[in-house]
Formats: sequence, structure tokens, C-alpha cells
Amino acid sequence: MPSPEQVPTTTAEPEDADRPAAQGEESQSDGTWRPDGAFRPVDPNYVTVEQIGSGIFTIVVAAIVSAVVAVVALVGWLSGWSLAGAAVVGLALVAFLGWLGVKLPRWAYAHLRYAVSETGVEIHRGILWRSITNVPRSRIQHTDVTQGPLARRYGIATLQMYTAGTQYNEVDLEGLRYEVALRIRDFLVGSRGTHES
Amino acid sequence: MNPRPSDDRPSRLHPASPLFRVVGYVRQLIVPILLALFAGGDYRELVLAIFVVPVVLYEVLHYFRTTYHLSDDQLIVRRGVVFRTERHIPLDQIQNIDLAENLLHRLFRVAEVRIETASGAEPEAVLRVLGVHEIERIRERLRAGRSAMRDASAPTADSARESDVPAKQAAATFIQGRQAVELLHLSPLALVKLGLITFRGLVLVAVAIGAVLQFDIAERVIENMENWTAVSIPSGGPALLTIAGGVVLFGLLAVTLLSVLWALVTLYDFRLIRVGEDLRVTCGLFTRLSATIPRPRIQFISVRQSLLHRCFGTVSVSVETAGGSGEAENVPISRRWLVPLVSQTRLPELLREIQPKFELVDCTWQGLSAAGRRRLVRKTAIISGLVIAAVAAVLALWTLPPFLPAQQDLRVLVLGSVATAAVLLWLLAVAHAWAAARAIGYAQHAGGIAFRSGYLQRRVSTTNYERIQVVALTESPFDRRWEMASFSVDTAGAGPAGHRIEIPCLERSVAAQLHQHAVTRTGQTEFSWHR
Repeated sequence: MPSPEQVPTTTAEPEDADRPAAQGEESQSDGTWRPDGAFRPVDPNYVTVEQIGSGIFTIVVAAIVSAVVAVVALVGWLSGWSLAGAAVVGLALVAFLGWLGVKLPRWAYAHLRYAVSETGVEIHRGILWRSITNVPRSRIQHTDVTQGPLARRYGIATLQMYTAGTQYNEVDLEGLRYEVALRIRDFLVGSRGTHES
Repeated sequence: MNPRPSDDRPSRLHPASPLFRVVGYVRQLIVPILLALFAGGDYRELVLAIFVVPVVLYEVLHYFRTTYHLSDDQLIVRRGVVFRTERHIPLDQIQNIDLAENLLHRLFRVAEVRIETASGAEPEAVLRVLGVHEIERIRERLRAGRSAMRDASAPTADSARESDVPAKQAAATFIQGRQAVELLHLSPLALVKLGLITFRGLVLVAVAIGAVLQFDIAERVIENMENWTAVSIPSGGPALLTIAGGVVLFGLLAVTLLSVLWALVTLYDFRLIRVGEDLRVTCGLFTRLSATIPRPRIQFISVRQSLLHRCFGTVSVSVETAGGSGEAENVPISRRWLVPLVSQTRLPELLREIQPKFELVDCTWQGLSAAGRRRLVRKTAIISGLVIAAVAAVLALWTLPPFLPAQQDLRVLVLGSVATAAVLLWLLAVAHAWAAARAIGYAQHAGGIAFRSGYLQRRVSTTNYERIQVVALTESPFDRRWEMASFSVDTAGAGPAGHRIEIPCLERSVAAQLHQHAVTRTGQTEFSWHR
């Protein structure tokens, strides 16, 4: 089972020490995908999509914070040093959120691994709170492949697997390359004989 | 094996249906109706007409526009006055058929039918109301369909199991040509016991205590009592407390009585019988409930024993079948609460009857490691310590002036008692955590996994590999520090019973082994609603 770090980089992404060098999927996106149970990362565009999403969120928060500070200044609840202090706190908050928005997706990508084999899907995820989730193939009732507008532009999708469970009624694998998601879906739900769903 | 005849044409509900539906609405509209009756004045009749007549008209229309139809493999329900809907329910997806009949239903020999499939929280079809003969016909059709389905998919042991009748054959009655075995019958005495054990209304007691502790109310009560009984009650702290205590005691007694009455009325004549592969529960005094659980649909069995249970040597058993309604209002004994009360000695035999494939009694239990137990105790010690300290601090601040007169002795006394109480409480919490950590155990048996936890309220649950849906291993940052992990399995319908197979603070190697074993075994099995 090749560890993701051993697969060489194939795309010209900007150098970044935080980005792991795994690009296992890029080289197999043209139909050579096999359910071999090897652990792979998801598509690197996942990082980009998530960062853009966080960026939008940060902008919204920045707008709200500046609106709040402006209102507070106008109404006169605070003034002088306390107002400056509040503005600084607001700024710090927005800066922190922005920083998180850039770092978190990278970390999440580094910790997100999945493997598809004949028996089922295993997903490793989590930065601080880590988890390994196993969904046996026979337990998948049906699947969805979904893409938001941003994800569509970057060619990635989320594979949603539905089981008859309760807490794990829906197991998501996000950041997959769209074609790979389709292929995994076909493999999981396709030719399986009779299955009550 | 009789063929499965489909209906020639759709059937309507029982003609008395509009009546029952109107009655159902009346319950919801009771406030406006009462208002109309009492405040309407001369326009009383008009107001009533506005509220009642449209509803009656609508319901009559609804009756004529609702039909159901049992085809070869589906139940088709068409309803709707303005917006028509047609719902197709595959017969082999139907999991439970529950009945509810109150006194009015019994007068007309009808019942309200709720049909549920595995998915969703609400019944897929609620047929209000059908005649009892019709209901039996539908049930028989479904049973015939189910056994045909089973014979097709697993023609091995199931037919043999039906003839495998246990020793308890005292009530060898036959229902629809199949042998019915009575598994459990709760006498009124047993129901009284159940009422005492479940002690519903604990919330009321808490509220009452809270209210009584508001000294204003107590003083007012005392004034009234003095007025009524012409007896002067000495004022002051001790007397107040005694009276408060008396009220609380009276409240407790009343609540106990209510709980016993509740058990007697809702679970009157509780019977659990097995008809072939179906478990049937009937109970109820005024509102008679009847629920069916096909044995193969049981996903998860949980046995519960609270402190009070232990006094009587009994347990209660609940099962999870997929797609059960989350909040079953009209079905207080939901299918899940399969056995409200059974003696511990009868439990193994009963479990074998309920689902012989699930192992709960012959398990080699393994507990957590010492390090894991210590972690759990530490966690409780820290969290409860913080909470208790916070509460104690608030209480202590409350005793400082200006809330109380600045009497040094009184203040010291109050502070001292608060501190002592806080420490005692904390010690109690830690002791309980220690006992609870020791009570955690798991067992991997041939067919599945069992898990037990809880000290005051002991719970043991089990499922087998065929029923496991997803297997998960999680570690929090604290887990990682101690090289531990938490292992859990997910089943269809697990959780609402209040107990999930989720084992915390396992040593990483142990957790990995459990995880691997579960994944392998689960992957080897096929999941089916029918086997």
C-alpha cells in the first residue's frame, strides 16, 4: 500500500511547505482508477475551494465587525481609547479568521485519506479530532454525488453515501475529483446483485 | 403456500372514519370550541357552525377520496381532497403495523392503523380507521408476503425455526393457522411494580420542590392553612421547613400514585406473544394498542436495569427496529419498549425467544484498562469539580451582604455548610465515576458485539455483525496523548433507546483490534431486512 507521501507531485502548484506532495489521483484520472484499497488523498483543488469559501466567510465577518464598530462609534457607546481598543480586537478577530481560513483547509487536506476496496470504503479524517470510518460496501443503500458552484468550477465533488445507520446515516467524502467520484459511485452501487434499499 | 392475491379494486376506509377524524380535530380545536360555547352569546350556533361544519364537510369528502389498494407487491394509498397524492409502499419494506383503539374505536370495532417502513421517522401510512377484519386480512397478506420473501432468499433455517417451539406451551393457541406462543404477561401486580420502578413524574417532583422553596408560596400556604383550620402555626424557619417537607412528601406520594395508575392504565393486560417470526404486543385499558415486530427486523437489543429495578430483581428490555418514530405520542409503549418488566431469572429465556441470533447472556466480558478507567474518573473529577466550585462560589457570594444581615456567625455557618456540601458532592461524583468506569465492559462473541455500561442505571446492549452498518474509530487530542481511542458501531435505529455501542478510552492496540475484527466480520456479511 503506497503511502501518499511517496507519490510525486505532477502539477505546478505554488511551492508551499504545508502542502503534502501527494497527487495520486491526478495521474489516474483517465480511467485507471482501481478499487485497490490503497489510501489516497483527495484532489488538491479541495484546498483551493475550501480556502475560497473561508475567504468569503471572513469577508462577511469583516463587514459585520466593521459595521458593529461603526455603529458603536456613531452612537457613542465607546470613544477614544476604548473605541480604538474595540477596533483593534475586531481587526485581530478578522485577521485570525483569515489565517485559519488559509491554514485549516491545508491541514484538513493533509489529514484526509480514503481507501476503496472490494469490501468497502475507509475514510481517515480529522486534524485534532481524528476518526476512521468504515462503510462496508454491502451497507451502502444509495449514493449522491454533489457539487456546489465553486466545486464545479474546480472540478471536485462530494460523494455522499447513505446507510441504514442512525449516527452514520450519511457518510460524506468531499474533495474528490468529479470523475473519480463518479467512478467510485459506480463501483459501490453498481453491479451488486439484488439489494434491498 | 397460498399465492398472494391482489385486490381487484381499491378499497375505502371504514365508513366511520369521518367521525374519528372529526373527533381527532375536536381535540385540537377544543379551546376555540369552548370559547364559542361560553363567550359566543347569541351567535353561539353561528360560531360553532363556522368551526365545526367545514371540518365535517372536509372529512366526509376526505373519506370518499381516500383509498388503499393491496397489489401484488405494493400497498398503494391515494388520498387528498384538493391535492392528490399517491403513495406506493413496497410490501416487503413494511416493517411495523401498529394499531391503536380507544373506547370509541372498540364501539365501532375499528382501529387506527399505522404502517411504517424502515426509513423515516413518521409512519408512511396512517389509515384512520379500518375495520378489524380488514386489518387481519392485511396483516395476513403481509405475513404471507414476508414468508414468501424469506423462503426465496434464505430457505434454510427459518421455516425450521417456526416449528421449533419452546417448552413454554401452556397457551398453545393458534392465530391464523400459526402457533402463538405467549412469552410474557404482566399482571396488575406486576404493573404496580412497574409504576413504582419507573416513577414517572420525577420532573413534577423537582418542579414542586423548586416552587415550595420559594418561601413566599410557603408563607401564603401557611396563612391559608391557619385561616382554614383555625390553628396558629408558629412562624419561623424550622416550622417552615417542616411544612415544606410535608408538602414535598405529599407530592412524592401523589406522583407515585399517578405513576402506578399510569402503568396500570396504559399497559393493562400487557401481553407479548410470538406468532411465527412476529412478535406481537398488546396492552392498554382504555386505549388498546397493538404492535407487531417481525423478529428479523430487530437491529439492536438493550437491557436496562435501574436502581429501583434492582430492588425488585427485574429488568426491562427495549429493541431497536429501523425507522421507528422518534416521538411516539399515541403509542406510549412504542415497539421499542418491548418488555417493560421481566424478572432477571426469566431474562435469558425471553431473550432467546425475542431474537435467538443475538447473544447477551453468555458473554466473556472485558473491561477497560486501569489507565482508561483512571482517565474517565479524572475527567469527571475535573468537570464536576469546576461545576460544583462555580455553583458553590455563586451560593457563597449570595450569603454576603446585602443579601443577608451581616451576622458573622450566620455567615460563617452558611459558608461552612456550602463548602462541606460542595466537597461531599464532589466526592460523591468521583465515587460514582469510578464505579461507572469499572462497570464499562464489552464482549466480542461469535456473532456480534455486546457492550455494557452504567452503574446506577445498568445497561447492556448487543447487536450482531449482520446488523452493523458503519464501524468507526475516533480519537480526541486527549485520547492521542494517552494513546487511547474510542470504538463505536452504528446500527439501523440505534440511539433512541438511549444506549449506543460506543466504547471510550480503549488502549489503542485493543481499539485497533476491535475495529479490524468488526470491519472484517461486517464486510463478510450481507445486510438484509428480512433475515
